This record gives sequence, C-alpha cells and structure tokens, in this order.
Amino acid sequence: MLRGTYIHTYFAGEVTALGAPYNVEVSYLRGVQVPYGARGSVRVDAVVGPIAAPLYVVELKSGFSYPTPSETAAYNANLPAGTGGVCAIAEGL
Amino acid sequence: MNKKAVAKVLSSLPGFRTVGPYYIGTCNREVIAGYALDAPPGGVYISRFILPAYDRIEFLHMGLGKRIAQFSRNEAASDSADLDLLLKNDWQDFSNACDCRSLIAYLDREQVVGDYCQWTRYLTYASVGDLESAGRLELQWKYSPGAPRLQLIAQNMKEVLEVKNQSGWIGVQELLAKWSEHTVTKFCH
Repeated sequence: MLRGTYIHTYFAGEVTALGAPYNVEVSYLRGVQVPYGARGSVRVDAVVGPIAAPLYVVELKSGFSYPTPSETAAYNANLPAGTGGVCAIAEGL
Repeated sequence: MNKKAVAKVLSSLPGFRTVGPYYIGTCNREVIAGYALDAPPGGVYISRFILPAYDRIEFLHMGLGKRIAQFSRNEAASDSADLDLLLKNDWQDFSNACDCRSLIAYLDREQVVGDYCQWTRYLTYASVGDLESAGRLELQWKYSPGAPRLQLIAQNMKEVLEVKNQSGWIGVQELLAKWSEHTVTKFCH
C-alpha cells in the first residue's frame, strides 16, 4: 500500500472508531452529499457534526503537501452552506 | 466487503433499479428513494437517499440521507447474507416514506438538518396545500441574511417565487407538478 493511502486509511479507521458525530470520506457537490467520484465533487477526509450541516470538515494532507488555492475554491463551492471551516492537517507544517 | 460484493447485494434487492451508484426502490410523483453506494478509497458505505420528486432535480444526491452501513477495505469478508438481511429490514421501515406526508414524517423522525431539508419542507408544504407552514418558512428565509444559501436551491427558489408572484400558490403547485413529471421521466423509467 502506498504511504499516503496507508495514512488516510489509518486516519479513517481512527476517526470511524470515535463514532458520532464523526464521519469519514464524505463527498459533496453543490452543498449536498454525493457518492465518491461524482463529477465536480470534493471529498473531505472527515466531517464533524451532521453530514448535511457540518460544524467543520477535516482535510488530511500527506507527503508534505497542503491545500492549494484551487482546492480551497472547490471546497467553498461544494461544501454545505454554513460549514464552519476546513481544518487542514498537514505533515511538517 | 468490497465494492463489487456490496453492489451485488444492492442490485439483488427485489423491485429496485440501478442508476449509476443509486439503487432506486421508490419512484413516483412524490418521492424518489432508495440506497446509494459510496466507495471512496478507504471504505465502502451504503447510504439511504430520499428526495422530493416535485423539486427540479438535476442529479440524485444524499442531502436527506443517512449512512446505514460501512465496510473497511481491510475488513475480513463479511457475510453477504447479513447485509442482505440488514437492507431488507431497513427497507421495510424506510419504504414507508413514499409520499409527501410520510416524507415530512421521515424528516422529523430522523431529525434531518440542513438547507436542503428546509427547502424540501417548503416544497412539500406548498405541494400539499399547507400554505401557512410554507409561508412561515418563506418569511424565515426573507429575514435570514443570505438564505437560501445553497446554489442548488437558489435557482429553483427564484423560479418558485416568480411564479408565486404571478399566479399565487396555485401557480406554484402547477410548477411543482411539472417538476415532478420531469423527475419521473428522468429517473423512474
């Protein structure tokens, strides 16, 4: 398994074990949840609060990367209105 | 269970039809509902989805849904029979949400939140002629800055309000009937 995939899978397992109100690997398109792979959608690594109205979402960045301006714009366009913010967890930052 | 195994169980549900990752069990002029298969890299998830057919639906989504099952990619093979039983038990209850009134009851019972939920309530009240409740929601939006906040809703709401100004609630109900017809044509056949 690739290192980045391993980190994301491990993170998903840990967050899933926390139970409500946490959810992992949620995709959104124009403010509503859609299945992974829907054209134009964004996928967040974790959601805190209800999936339809998150308190905030978490983006895990492995490999010393960080959210790009285009990723940030895509989040703003597709996350549910009222989402408190995007919390990026990045290696080495 | 992997995506393929879960898809096999979903597609074997009696009376369901498949549209991409969606498995539609109810599709009529009032409600479209069933299950969605969500398979990102880390796991496989099954969600309920339910939508008011009388909205102008560009794409199916789980805005009023709920995750009911999840499987880790690393999980040892689960029994397909267990998943089949879980889905059939869930559908026994969930399939009761099949018209306007039971959709509202579902939203209340499941404590669904979010802007799309409010929009669904508004459309449903208008559709069944509960104009007092619809009007109350409209007033809330009027005095709430930036509402409705979802782009997905804003365009449809603009059209509803234009029709209401021209033809009143009767006009709105006719518009919703038109949208319902479109949904049925698009997703139910």
